[in-house]
Amino acid sequence: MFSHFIPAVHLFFTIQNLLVVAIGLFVGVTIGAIPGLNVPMTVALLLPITFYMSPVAGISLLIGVYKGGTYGGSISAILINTPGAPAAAATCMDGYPMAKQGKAGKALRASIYGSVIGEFIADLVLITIASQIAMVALKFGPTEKLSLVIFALVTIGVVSSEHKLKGIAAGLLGIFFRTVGSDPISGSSRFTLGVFSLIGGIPFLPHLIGLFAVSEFFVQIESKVVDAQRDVVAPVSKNREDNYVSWKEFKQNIVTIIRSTLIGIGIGALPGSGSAISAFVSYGAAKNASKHPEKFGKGSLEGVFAAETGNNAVCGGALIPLLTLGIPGDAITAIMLGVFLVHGLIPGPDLFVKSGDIIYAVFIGLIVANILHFFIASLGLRLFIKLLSISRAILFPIVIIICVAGAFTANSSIFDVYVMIFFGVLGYVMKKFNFPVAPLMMGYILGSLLETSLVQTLVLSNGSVLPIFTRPISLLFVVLTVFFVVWSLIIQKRGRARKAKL
Amino acid sequence: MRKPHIRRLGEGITLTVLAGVILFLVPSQIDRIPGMETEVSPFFLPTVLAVAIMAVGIALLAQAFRKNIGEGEKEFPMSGGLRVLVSVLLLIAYTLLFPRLGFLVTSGIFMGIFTYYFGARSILKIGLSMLLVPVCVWLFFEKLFRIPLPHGLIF
Amino acid sequence: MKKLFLVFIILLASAGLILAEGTQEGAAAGEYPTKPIQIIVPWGAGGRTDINARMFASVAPKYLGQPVVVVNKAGGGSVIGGDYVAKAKPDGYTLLAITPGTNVFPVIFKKAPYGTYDFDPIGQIGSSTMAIASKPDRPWKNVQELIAYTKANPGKVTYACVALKAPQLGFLRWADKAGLKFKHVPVGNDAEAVEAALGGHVDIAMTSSVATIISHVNANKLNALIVFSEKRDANLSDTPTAVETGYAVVASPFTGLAGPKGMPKEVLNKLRTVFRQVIEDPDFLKVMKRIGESISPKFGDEFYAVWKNDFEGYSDIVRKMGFVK
Repeated sequence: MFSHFIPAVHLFFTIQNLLVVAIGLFVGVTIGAIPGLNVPMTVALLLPITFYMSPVAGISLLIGVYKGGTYGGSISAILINTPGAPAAAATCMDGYPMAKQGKAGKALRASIYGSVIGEFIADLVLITIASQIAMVALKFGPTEKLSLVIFALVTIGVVSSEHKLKGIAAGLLGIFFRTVGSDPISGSSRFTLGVFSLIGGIPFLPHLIGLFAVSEFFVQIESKVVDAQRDVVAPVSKNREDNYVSWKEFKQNIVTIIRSTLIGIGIGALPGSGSAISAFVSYGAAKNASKHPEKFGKGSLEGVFAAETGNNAVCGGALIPLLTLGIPGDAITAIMLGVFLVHGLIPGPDLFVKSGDIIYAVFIGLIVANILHFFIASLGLRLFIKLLSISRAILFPIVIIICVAGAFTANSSIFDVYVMIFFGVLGYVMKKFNFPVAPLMMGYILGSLLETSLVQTLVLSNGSVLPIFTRPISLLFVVLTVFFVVWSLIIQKRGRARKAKL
Repeated sequence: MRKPHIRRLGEGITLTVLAGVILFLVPSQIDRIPGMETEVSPFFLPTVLAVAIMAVGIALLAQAFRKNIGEGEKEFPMSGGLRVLVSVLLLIAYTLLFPRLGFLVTSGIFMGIFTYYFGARSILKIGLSMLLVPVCVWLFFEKLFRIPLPHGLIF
Repeated sequence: MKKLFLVFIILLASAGLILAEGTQEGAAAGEYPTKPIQIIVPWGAGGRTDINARMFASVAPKYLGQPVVVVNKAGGGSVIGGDYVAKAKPDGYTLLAITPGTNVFPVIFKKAPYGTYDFDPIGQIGSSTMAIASKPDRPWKNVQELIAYTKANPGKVTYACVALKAPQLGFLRWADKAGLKFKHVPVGNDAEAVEAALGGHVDIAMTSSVATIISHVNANKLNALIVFSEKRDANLSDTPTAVETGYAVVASPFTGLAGPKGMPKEVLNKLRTVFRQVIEDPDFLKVMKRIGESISPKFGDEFYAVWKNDFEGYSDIVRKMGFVK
């Protein structure tokens, strides 16, 4: 490792590389914060440019975008209840209530600290014990993935609403929406209702924008702006303690941050999962472990820390299978794999032997990106918070124009814009009837993994579901699932009893 | 017997009916590739989902009759309903028009309509946002990211 | 307010500049192309086809004199994008990044509202080498042992690959000729197949590109058993081709460029000339080589013959396996 270190330092520390990381972060934060744009699309658009850069610069650029984009979603999630990226959906649940209480500054800062620390630890783990973790990740076959998906879905359904049945209903509906189109195994078409555009299934980006951004637009337009000057989404408190995270608060959340980081690394290292799942599982774990579970969903600082640390720790985790096995875990790392290949770096077991200098230079890039992330996000904070001083009458029409453009451009299709409106209405109705929308999104995201791993499990076991209980890792998740449900029911009972006493 | 909770009743019925519709659609809306001998057919998951959704719907129905609900749940204010309906229609009109008139022109028009509908009355503000916002978004997508947006008759 | 006005004026000015630029582009009317050309990629951004198209688009303007824009129109296993181009005006301004996934498989499975030959072939950029690989701890070390083992244990050996596309159908063509029965485990993409084999969850991974296994083969984590190309792969010189095993199957998924059927002769000729120039461009070759994309250019009618070969080969196996009634 150390033989590569000195040449790697020389390789990385050039003005160009530093600049490229900073630009990547800046672009990432921006597109992450805008509901109509997403990280995979941006990374793909930047791809041809990276072909003409040095390998270290090209990869650093994408890493900057990846990290910035995963973080950026939290800004709009906190400020206008509109996650710019799926990973930030869990951040909404407590971030927006905090902003409503005037604590937008505190929530944004918590999201920066959580993201940067989560990323930093995940990067260190990647640099030191990546290959060991990858070996564990390989143990996850179809059966283990199936029980993990079930665990994640149950967690999300249970934690995202006071009303468990409604959370479960939303999750089931989400999985159902995913079954529309071609099935992931044989490609036979389902529920297309004769609509040609639906054979591709329900497109993800319009679904996401509709469910979160457009539904929020409808919620906002319910009430007319009376005083155009002062009617804003949420006023920012003038108190210093509402805008900063105190050392005491930080110390109280250290356990949450560490726990979420570990969850993020673990989930990131498993190909096919991703940052949204990690954010929700971290959030659920934090709620179950918290001394104040009743505050979750009503502006809990712990909730913001858990969700934001959980989703950014995935960035480091997802690079583990990419670098050690050449297996990309999500759409973004899949594109990064392309960049590695273009520069003649073949990810896999012999990558560190063959191109150690470059890889360690990339590792240095990861750490530097971390430090820059902290400064860029902190500087940007003052700017972002200005969003809250724009009148709702201007802000939300802007959001809707960007949403329409974003939904259209993902596949250059008008049909997708209608899909967006449909999910906007659905999301609005769900919000009105206290059905949480996040489980619907997660059901949609996990639906195909659920189906493929179910089919694979049954094919390999000749039609038996027994392996779920006989394989140790899988059994662990089954036990965790049961524990999670029982524990959260106990917490809820206790909360009710406490309320009754008062 | 106590009076059923109307809202919960409605929610339960909606979910149960929805599940019924899915079950009804399963045989006609799914095709099968004949030679694929997998243990699970494309019918399996949707059917299980529909049954599960129905179960949740029935459970909600049951709650409507036996439980004292209301605590912890926000009321459902109907006041803004009409405004939302109008804005849904406006959004559909926007989507209908923008492939024909082009993104810039349509967005300009609807930016104005939406800000006005939201309650802004300052001519300067509305006018500026009508011009600035679509141009910025357009520049961002088309010139920076090179993703084409529809062009219309005029521009 | 003053600031706002300043921003406004700057934006107006830049909009004006862009307008002016636009009219200049239009001024050189007459000879094709007079405006930017779109390449429709019927898959999501970042995939193999997308990268190929973007590379092509970054080099082509040098020879076309017009920008080339890549537009992703994903969905329906690429049928939506394919349909869009098949029905587009054949004026040479809407082209398609074409793979068997667009104009062969959906047509065989009757999922596409267009036919295999509803496009005018411009040229093939390359074709990838499909291969199968196993973990070294399996009871076979090479393809002969695999054949013997499978003969003794029919239906016991599992193979993971994408269902009903080039990987599974190519493998089935070979297994059918060899008279072997395997058990298929469907996965979403090549990476998942390799992952399942590395983890020991399945016996064989069938991937549509050797790029996904080379590193593991070099590190002795996987044994490459067969490649499905015409000749042995340069990176896997010890691995026999399917033809060498005695059961001749050549199946290499192509990537290329096509347009809607019925483009005017001079437009098609111009496009084919430019295609040849791009594919022989040193910059283009350099990058493509690094991605591990073997360039095997085929022009015009040669490319058409590839479609025909694929369509007929896969149609046979699909009918034989009973996938289509």
